[in-house]
Amino acid sequence: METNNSYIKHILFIWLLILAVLIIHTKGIYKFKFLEFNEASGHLQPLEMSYKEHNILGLKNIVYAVPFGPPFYHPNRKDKLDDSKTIRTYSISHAKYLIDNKIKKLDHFNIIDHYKGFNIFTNENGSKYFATLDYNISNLKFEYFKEYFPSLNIQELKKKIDKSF
Amino acid sequence: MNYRITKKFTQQNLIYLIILLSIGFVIGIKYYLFEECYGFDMNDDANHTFVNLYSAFQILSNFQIPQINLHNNFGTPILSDQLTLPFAIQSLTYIFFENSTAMLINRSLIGMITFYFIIKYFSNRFSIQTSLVIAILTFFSSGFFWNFAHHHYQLSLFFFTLILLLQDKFSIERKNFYFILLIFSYLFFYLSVNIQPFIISISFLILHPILIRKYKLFSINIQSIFLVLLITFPITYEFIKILDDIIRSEVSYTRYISDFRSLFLSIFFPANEWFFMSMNGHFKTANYYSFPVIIISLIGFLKMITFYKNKSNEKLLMFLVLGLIPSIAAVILQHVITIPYISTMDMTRVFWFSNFFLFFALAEFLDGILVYKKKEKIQYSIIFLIISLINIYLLKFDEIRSISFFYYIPSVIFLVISILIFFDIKKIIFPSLVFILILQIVPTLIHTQSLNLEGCPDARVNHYFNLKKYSKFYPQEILNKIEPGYRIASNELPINGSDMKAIYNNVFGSNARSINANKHLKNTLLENKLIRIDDSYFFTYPWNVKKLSDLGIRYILSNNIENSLLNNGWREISSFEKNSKKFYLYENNIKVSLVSLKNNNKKKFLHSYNIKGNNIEIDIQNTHYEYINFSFFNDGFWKGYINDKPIKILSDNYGMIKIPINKESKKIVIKYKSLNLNFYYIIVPFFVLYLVNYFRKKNGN
Repeated sequence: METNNSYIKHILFIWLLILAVLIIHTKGIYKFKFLEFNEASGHLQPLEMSYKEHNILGLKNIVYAVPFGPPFYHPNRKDKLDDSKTIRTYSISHAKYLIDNKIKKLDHFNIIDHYKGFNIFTNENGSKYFATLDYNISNLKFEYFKEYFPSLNIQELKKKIDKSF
Repeated sequence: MNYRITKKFTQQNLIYLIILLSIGFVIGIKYYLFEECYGFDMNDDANHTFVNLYSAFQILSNFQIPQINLHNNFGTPILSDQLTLPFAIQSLTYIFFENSTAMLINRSLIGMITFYFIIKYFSNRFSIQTSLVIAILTFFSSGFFWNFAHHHYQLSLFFFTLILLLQDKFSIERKNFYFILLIFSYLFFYLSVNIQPFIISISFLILHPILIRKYKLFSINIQSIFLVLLITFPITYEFIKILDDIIRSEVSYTRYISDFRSLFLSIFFPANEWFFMSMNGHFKTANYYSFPVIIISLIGFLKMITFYKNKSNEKLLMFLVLGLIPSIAAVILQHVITIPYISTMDMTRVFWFSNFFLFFALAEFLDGILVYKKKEKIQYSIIFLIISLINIYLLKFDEIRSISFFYYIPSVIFLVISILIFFDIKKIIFPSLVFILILQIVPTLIHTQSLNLEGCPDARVNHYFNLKKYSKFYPQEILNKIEPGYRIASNELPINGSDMKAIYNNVFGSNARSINANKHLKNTLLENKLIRIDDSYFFTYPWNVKKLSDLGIRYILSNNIENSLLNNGWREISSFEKNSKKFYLYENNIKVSLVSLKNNNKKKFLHSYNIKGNNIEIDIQNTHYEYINFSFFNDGFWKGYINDKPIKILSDNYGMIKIPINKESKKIVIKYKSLNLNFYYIIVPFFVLYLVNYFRKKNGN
């Protein structure tokens, strides 16, 4: 193609238009929703390797028990996680309990509430409540992926959390 | 007619000027938009380049070649340091301007000139409008633009493109002139850019003359590279010698993405937007090219093969040999196989250079987009409709379920282009394509410069912009309480770099941040339970006050109250608290220093010694001590002299310098000599003879 001055002007216009949008967005004059890109967070942590032919890993607030053989699949790939029999739960001890008792249900992750930097869970039949430290929170008194404050109801659990501060 | 040509030329120049100025603006965007933002990185720039350049200039003012920064981590080599480059062109700015200003000037100026060079290179092959588009894509390609922020990478594309342009312009008639220009370009390329991109780019620059069929240039090019590598050999030799001993040699660039599916997706969508965990630095976006860029390049490539003509032969070969093959090799080396030494390098840097030639396919398509026969328009229309659907199909992948709406825009635009082609509305096809292609650099700009984060909030580190206070020691109030000439260690992550930045008050730091930090010293300090490993390492509890004194550490800076220091006689001499940031400064109860005399059970600290560039001198009288200790790590490059006679240097339990002395010892000098200057007695005459012979031959004498 021959050099075409009108196309060069088009490019200049498009370039300046994109710059203007960036300035408006960056300065906060108007926040364009489509420019608010996600930012991945968290680290895949080996919590206990080789536990009864499973590798127990932690990512964000979830504990994954991956059987020997298949790789660790992206958490969004639910079908692959199920196919590979990867257990998803909230604590190391619960992951071990599920492995020990050969429980077939794979997805046990169900946060029912967040309170002062803790995720609140209940067990399968709703008879017990407990909390784990949220991965975004730094609190040297507690470890991630461990169950704390076992209680009979949420109110009791929240009181226990309050007391811990 | 003349008037029209002049008007067109002036208009083009004006457009160039506006675009170049806007490039300078984008590079410093947050500096111009927010009062508190300054253009520098707190880690690589402020903690490393700035402090080492300061040290290098101090040594140069003593008429010595900078070889060691004594103020950092018990002495770290400076000449071969690949983040400092004291003889780089861009280092000159730091002589005239304050660090953060110099960095911004360098980034903007180098960015604008580099961009101009890139346009010039492409416009030798494609129309100006297409050259402008691919110049934008090349300069703002995610891997390069992320790293462009840093001193040691800033001039990489500048010199690469300059040499490509010289090779393009080369003519047999003026070969001597080009030979000299090539020698100087390669020389300053070597001195101004980190050795890794330099080495990577050399392979492209060697092959380029062959592919543009300038075979005579090939030999001249090789000779220039040979001469430059020869004259710079002592620096390379020092670098190779210390390579095995530095902490960085233990670090492998993590293969975050190991499966093919994720790798494939990371080319179309920045990995940090959908990957299951966060990534380090430029790996967040290093593989990102975007769907429109890849698909248009692919069509361009198919077009190049299908409508293969003699004319396009050169471009096709360049695309394959310098673009596609190196890129695929880099992906394999980065993500698939592990090779010793290679895995310590970041192979995504190959993309910085291969992009030039990869975009040839895209440019070929853009230049031919409006050339199609009427009967072909339905075909083209269907192709763009399919492309639009493929983009939607990709967006259905589970991993990227919650990705931004931004990535749906190409589908809309490709659908529009499909309709435009169908109805033969040619005028809007090219601008539409340009729009969707240029738009693809937006995620790179936003991620690289943290444009979604308003201003520069404290402690939210971004490597393009930071708060000015972090370019120097923070808090300055604490530094003022430290007596110059003594050693400090700070109990905080090396990324904060406090004790390294104490150099500006002539205070000696202990933590490691330098890329050249010695791994043997690290292991010794680790065995003595004095440090904790992080990015590099830093001093921390449990505090062993005896060991701290042995190392000549007189001050500890900490973010916590250090009771174990207080219980061992140390005292808090200053504290600082602002916006949840706390600092406490502790002083040793013994006035320890960097030099001490020692025998079996006695130790005496000396407070009067001279530091001259790379050397330390001290006068002692009638001493009954057996050894003199210097609190600097003996890495094998130190030379010792007593009363001007060379002596052997020993190491103490921590690897620090220890020299046996006696009553006769009066003047003790230690000199850091990593650079073997004797080499030049042989090389310089050879170099001159080579050049004289070259010109004599070429002139036919």
